Amino acid sequence: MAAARNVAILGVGATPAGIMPGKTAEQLALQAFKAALDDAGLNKEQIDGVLGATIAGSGIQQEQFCALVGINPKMTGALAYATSGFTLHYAISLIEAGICETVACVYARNPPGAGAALSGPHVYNAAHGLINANAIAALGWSQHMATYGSTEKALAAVVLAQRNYARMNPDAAFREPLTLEQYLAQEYLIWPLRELDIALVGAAGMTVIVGSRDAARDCRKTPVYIEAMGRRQGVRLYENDGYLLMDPMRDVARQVYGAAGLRPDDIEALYIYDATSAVVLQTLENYGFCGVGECEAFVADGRLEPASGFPLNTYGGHLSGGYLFGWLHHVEMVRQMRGECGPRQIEKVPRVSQYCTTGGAREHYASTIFVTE
Amino acid sequence: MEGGYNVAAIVKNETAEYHRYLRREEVRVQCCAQCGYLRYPQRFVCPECLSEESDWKPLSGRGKVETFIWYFKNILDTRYTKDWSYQDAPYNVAVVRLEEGPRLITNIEETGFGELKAGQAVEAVFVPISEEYAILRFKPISPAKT
Repeated sequence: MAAARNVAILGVGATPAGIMPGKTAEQLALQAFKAALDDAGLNKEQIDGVLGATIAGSGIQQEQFCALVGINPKMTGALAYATSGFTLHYAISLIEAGICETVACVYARNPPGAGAALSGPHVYNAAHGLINANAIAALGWSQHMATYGSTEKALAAVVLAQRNYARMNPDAAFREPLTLEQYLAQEYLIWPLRELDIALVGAAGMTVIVGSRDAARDCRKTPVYIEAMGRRQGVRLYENDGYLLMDPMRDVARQVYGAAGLRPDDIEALYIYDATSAVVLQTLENYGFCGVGECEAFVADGRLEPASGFPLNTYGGHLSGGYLFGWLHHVEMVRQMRGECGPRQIEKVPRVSQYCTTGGAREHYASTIFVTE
Repeated sequence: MEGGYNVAAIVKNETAEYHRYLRREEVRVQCCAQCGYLRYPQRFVCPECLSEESDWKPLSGRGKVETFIWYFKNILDTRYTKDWSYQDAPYNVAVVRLEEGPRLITNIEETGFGELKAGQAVEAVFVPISEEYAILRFKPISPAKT
């Protein structure tokens, strides 16, 4: 990438997440878009790029959205895979290249089964019954357990901590109290995962507005600058050794920490794409927050819980906060870095944050480090 | 559908030959005629050297379980039901690494929850799904044979 801190997040907006009968994706997108414009102190005429993602059966279409809100953009685009990490990098590249000045990443959906259906519907192998993206995570965690002796206690630590954050977030999808006993009492769905380990689909909308350093100067709130990025797409899947253990993350970690000149210890708030609890644990290991195979000891004794000194997915994550392909992680991260999060605000307002994404069948990996000045 | 299997969802143009060999109880995968890479899944080009030439190489049909999962409920999605063709839960899905290298998605027969372990040595079981095609499952190799 070009010089760090050339591009910043200028404003964010999001709807509550969960069950919203009768609301269309376009209505949710509009609500979030207006909130993000207000947050940034911009008017819609200043938006000259709109990006999103195309996902079967849900989401919005970018050109239609531009027409809906009366924008004639310079460029629209959407990735065919639903990871906000990559779409954000797409927006950054448009700005760095001078193609657009201010890009709105807009995404919303209200899919069938909101609040109840599993995320990741896909048939990977019709002959042998490999169904649902979260089955790939289950295969990976099963391998992790066999390789390193890890157990479901580590999964429970992630699930319970994120629920406890969600309980402090009025916009979260799942806010009921949850105990370890309740977690363990739930039957396996795709062993070694229970339904509580898997993100459910829900309704939500969001907008993240990205612009140049120059554009950031005129904005209402503290800009959150892009410090460094990394990416790798392990699309050869089972042909890659270490596929299910998410080895390509280690390459992304080298890229992003190398570009930033930082280490995991320097990260003050961490956001991990959590389609499952298992992904969080394997991400912690592969980015070096703990040693490979050591996640269970790392998360023991409540380290991931609120106010534990290791802020992670502080809005509740996909599992409890709401599933919008990592975008709600970005919205929360920006708000935390401005000190806007009320009862769940990280005590020492984070100045350096990181987002780590996993998309598809454990194939799309990206990470971004963000800073405030 | 034949015998509960949605043959059209399983057998595609590029996989038909593979499933025909399985129906004859032979495990064969494409072998690159130029560099010898074993191509699985099937495709018209070698991902290593980009040669488009290949032969169907007979393999041992033995391997080891790298990892596995158990479905305790049927995971259905109405958008995809037309592609669905499988037994009722509980069932396992495993990644088996063949002795010759390729990894494939399969099921392990003659085992149960709590019994199946990573590292288990397995051998081929050929399951006909039509007159013309079969699919490949595995079963544990008994300790006496390993």
